[in-house]
Amino acid sequence: MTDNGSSRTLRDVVCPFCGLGCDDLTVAAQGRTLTVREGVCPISEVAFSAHPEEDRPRTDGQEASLDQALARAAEVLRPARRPLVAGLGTDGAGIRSALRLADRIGAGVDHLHGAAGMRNTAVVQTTGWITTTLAEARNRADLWILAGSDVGRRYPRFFERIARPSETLFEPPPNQRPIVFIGPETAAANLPADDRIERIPCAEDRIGEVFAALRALEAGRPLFEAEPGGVPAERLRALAERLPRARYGVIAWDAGELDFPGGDLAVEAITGLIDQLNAHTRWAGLPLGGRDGATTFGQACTWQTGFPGRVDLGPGYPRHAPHQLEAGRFAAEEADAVLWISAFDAGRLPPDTEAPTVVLGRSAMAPEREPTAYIPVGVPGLDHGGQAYRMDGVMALPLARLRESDLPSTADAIAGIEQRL
Amino acid sequence: MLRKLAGGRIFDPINGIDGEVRDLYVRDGRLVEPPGPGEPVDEEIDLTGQMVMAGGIDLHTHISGGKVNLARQMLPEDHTAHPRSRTETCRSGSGHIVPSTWATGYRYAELGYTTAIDPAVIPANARHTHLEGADTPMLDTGGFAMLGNDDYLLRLLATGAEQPEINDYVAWILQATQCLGIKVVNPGGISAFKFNQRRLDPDEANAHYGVTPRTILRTLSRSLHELGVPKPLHVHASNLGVPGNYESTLATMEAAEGLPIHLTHLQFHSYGTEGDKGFSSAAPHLAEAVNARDNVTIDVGQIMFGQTVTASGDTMRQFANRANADPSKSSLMDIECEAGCGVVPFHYQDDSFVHALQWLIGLELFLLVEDPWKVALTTDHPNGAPFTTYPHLIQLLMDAGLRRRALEALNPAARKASILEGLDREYSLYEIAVLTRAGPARLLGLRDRGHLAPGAAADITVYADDPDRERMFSEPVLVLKDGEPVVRQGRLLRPVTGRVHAVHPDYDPAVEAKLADYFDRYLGIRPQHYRIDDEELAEEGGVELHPCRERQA
Repeated sequence: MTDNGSSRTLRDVVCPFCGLGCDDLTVAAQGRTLTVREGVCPISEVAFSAHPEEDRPRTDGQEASLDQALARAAEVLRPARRPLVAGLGTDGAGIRSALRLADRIGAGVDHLHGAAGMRNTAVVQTTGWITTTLAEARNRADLWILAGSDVGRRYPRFFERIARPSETLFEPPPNQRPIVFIGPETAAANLPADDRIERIPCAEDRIGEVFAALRALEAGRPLFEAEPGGVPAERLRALAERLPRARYGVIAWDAGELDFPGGDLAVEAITGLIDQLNAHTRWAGLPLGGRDGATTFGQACTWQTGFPGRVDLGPGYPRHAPHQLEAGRFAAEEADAVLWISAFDAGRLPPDTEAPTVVLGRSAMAPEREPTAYIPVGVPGLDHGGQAYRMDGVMALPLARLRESDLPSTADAIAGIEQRL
Repeated sequence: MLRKLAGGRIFDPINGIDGEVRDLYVRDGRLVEPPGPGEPVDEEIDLTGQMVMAGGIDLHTHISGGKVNLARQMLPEDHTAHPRSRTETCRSGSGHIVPSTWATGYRYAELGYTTAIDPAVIPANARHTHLEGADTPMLDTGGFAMLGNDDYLLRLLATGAEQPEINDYVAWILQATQCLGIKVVNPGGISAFKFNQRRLDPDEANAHYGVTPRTILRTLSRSLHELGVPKPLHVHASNLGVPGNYESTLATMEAAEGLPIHLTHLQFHSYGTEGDKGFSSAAPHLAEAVNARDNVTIDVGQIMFGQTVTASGDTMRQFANRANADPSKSSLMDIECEAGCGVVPFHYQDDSFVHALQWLIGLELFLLVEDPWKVALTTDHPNGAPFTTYPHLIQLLMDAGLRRRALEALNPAARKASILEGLDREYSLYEIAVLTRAGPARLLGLRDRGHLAPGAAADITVYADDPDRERMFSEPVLVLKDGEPVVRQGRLLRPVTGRVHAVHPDYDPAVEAKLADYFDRYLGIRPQHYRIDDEELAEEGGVELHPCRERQA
C-alpha cells in the first residue's frame, strides 16, 4: 500500500474500536488522513480520523529519538521491584509482548477495562454461564432483552448488524423481533425509533434487582416488593410470562456500565435467570464489551497466565489478584514503575502516580503528568496489521495497515525495550 | 551438524523394528543415513541400554482454543494451586488440569511428546486456536475443524446438495482454518440443541433441517475420502455418556458405509443398560465391532480418578452433564451458527459406581481391541483426565498385576460388572509405541513423523529401561525436537517452537462466491477475514502441508 498523497479507497476494512468487529468499512485515505465513507458510525468516524499527525518520542519532557526513548524506558523498568504493566489497549501481538515483558520483570498486570472484565469473570469463576455469539444471536434471537446498556451510543451499529439485520437464517423476520430495553432513560433515548422496542425505565444500579425479581417470578416465587428495582411488579410479571415462550431469547449487558458496588451480582442475576429458563427453552447471554482490546487481552492473558486479568507476576509465577491489582490503586500505592499502553485511544491516560512512568500511546496523548518516557505507537488496524478480538471472544479479526507510518507497533516498541533491559 | 545416537534399543513399529540395538544419525532436524567412511560425526550420544522411540504424538488433546480458555477462566483454583515459575529461559505459567499454554508445551515435552493435535477447532475460532499455538512451545500442532452442526452444511444437506458441492465446502474450510482433518461432534445435535431438542439419536431428524446424524456422518466421511484427506473423519458420536449409547455408537460406525471413520473417546460411548443400576459396560460388544471392521479406528478417552474438567463441543450433552458438575459450576456457549461448547468440571471417584465402571470400560476397550494400530492412547485431555496421567495409564496397560491390585480400591459393584479382572493381556513396549506415536502418525497422514527411518523428522524420545514403566514414561532420559536436545532427565533444557500441520485439498473456486454471499447475508463477516493465510502462521513456526490423495469427486 503506497502513500503518495493521492486519495485511495480501502474496502472491507476491519474496525477495531468498539468491540462489535464490523469488517465492512470503506475508508478514504489521503496521506495519513483517514475518513470512513461507508459503514461509518459515530465511534469509527472519530477514531479513524483523529489526529493523523505522528507524535515524536519524549524523555523527561524533551523530544528524543525512538532509540533514546526506548533506552529511557528500559532504565525505568530495569531496576523496578514492583512494576505495573497496565492499560494494554492494543492488538494481539502488542498484548502478548506486554505479557512477556511483564513476566520477565515480574510486573502486576491490569487492563484499562479490568474492572468490567472482573465483574464478568467473578460470575464465570463462581457459577459459570450460558452465552452466545454475535452471529448466533443475530440469526436466532426471537426475544431480546437489553439489560441496562446504552447500546445505541456504545455500539452504534448493533441494531443494523445484530438485532435488526436485513436478513436472518431463521424466523421470525428480523424487523418483527421484540426488544425489551430495561435501563435508564438516558440510554433509552439513544435507541432507534422502532415500535417493537419496549422501554422499561430502571436506574442503572438497580438492574440486578429487576433480574432477581424476574428470577423469582420465573421460578413461581412471590414478590414482596411493589416495585422491584423501581419497576412496577405488574410490568415484570407481564415480561416474566413472555420469557419461557421465546424459542431463543438473548439478554445483552455490558459489564463496563454496571459500574457500582455489586455490579458482578447484577451480572449473576442476569445469568442466573438465563440458567433457569434453559430448563425448558433456549436462552443465552451476550456480554457486550471489548473496546480498547479488552477481549483480546482477556483471551491472551488467560492462555498465557491461566487468569483472565489482574495478574501479579511478581512472585515469579502468575497470581490472581482481582482487588490488589486494580491499576489505579496499585499505581498509587505499590508500584515503583509503570508501563502504560493505550494504542487505540489517546484519551485513555495513565493512572496518577509518583512512580516513573513509561507510556506507549496513540499520538496526541496528553498525560496530566509528563511521563519519564513517552513513546508514540501506531494504531493497530490503521498504522499496522495485527489481530483484534470481537466482543464475543470467538472471532479474532485480522487488522490491516491502512497508511504509511514511521511509528513502531506496540509489539515492536516492547521488543525494543526488552533488548535494552 | 551430524549427531549420532549410539547403541539404543529402537522401538519403531512403522519400520517393524522391535527393540533392536541400532545407531541413529541426525542432521538438520532429520534422521539421515549413516555417514560414509571418513565423514565425521560432530557429536555422539551414548544410548546404550536406553529405549528409543519417535517423539510422542497425541492425536486428541484439548489444549487450545476458546473452550479450553473458558475452562481456564472457570478454574482459578486449578491455576492457583499449580503455579509454574519462570526460569532464565522459560515463561511462567499455571494449571494442572487446563494448564496455560507455556506450561502445556513444557509438560508435554517433559513427557516425551513432540506433537499434539487439538481435535475441536470451531472454524470461526481457528485464528484463536493458532494464536494459542504460537504461545504453546515445544510442540508441533494441528487441528480438526468442526463441521456437521454448522448451518451452512445443514442447509446444503436439507436442500439435497450434491456431494461435490459439499466437498468443495469441506476443502475450503480445511484451507481457511489451516487444519489437518475434520471432526464432527454429536452430528447435528449441537444444532438441534439450539432448536431446543435435548436428545438426538442417529436416525432422528434435526427439528429444523430434517437432517439425521446418519446422513451427516455418511456425507462427511465420504467427503474426506473423495477429497483424499488422509485423516479419516474424527467422530464424537451421538449420546455421549448416556446409558445404552453403544447402540448409537454401532449405528455411527455403520453410517460411514465402509469408508474410514475414527471414533474418538469411545469409552464415553460404550455404555449398556444392564444390571441393577441400569448402567453397564458394552466395551466387549464394541471392541468386537471394531475388530470386525477394517474401516474403524478409535481412541479411548480413558478416565483417571481425580479432579478434572470436561470441555466439549457437545452442548446438548454437556447441558445434561451439568447435573454432575463437581465443583458445581458450568458454562455453555452457542457459537456463530457453527457449533458450541460446554465446560463442566468433574471429579472422578473410585468409590462411585459410575466413575469406577467408566475407568473399567476404558481399560476393557484397550485390552479387547486386538490390533494396536486401531487404537490411540488418549484420556481426551482434560475430559477423562489430564495428559500428565499418561505414564500411569501406560503402566496399567503393561501390567495385569497392577490392574488387579488397582481393582481392589474400586467400587465393588463396578468391579463385579466388569470382565477386566479376567483380562491378562499386557501391552509390550512395541505396542505402546504404536499407540502413542506410530499409530497416530499413520492415522493423521504425517508420513515423516512417528518413526525413525532416514528422512523422518528427528523428533526422538529416549527412555531408561526402568521396570517401573510409569517412572520410565514420566521422565524421558532425552528428548530431541527437530534434532536438538530439549529435555534431559525429564527436565526442560530450552524452549523451541514447533510448526502447524495442515492439509489443503483442492476445491472449485466457485464455492467462494457462494460462501461470500452466505457470510454477508447471515454472519456479518467477510470470508477473507475469516480465513487464515499461511503468512499468519509464521510465528507458530509456519505451516507444513501434507499431501492429499488425488480428489475423486
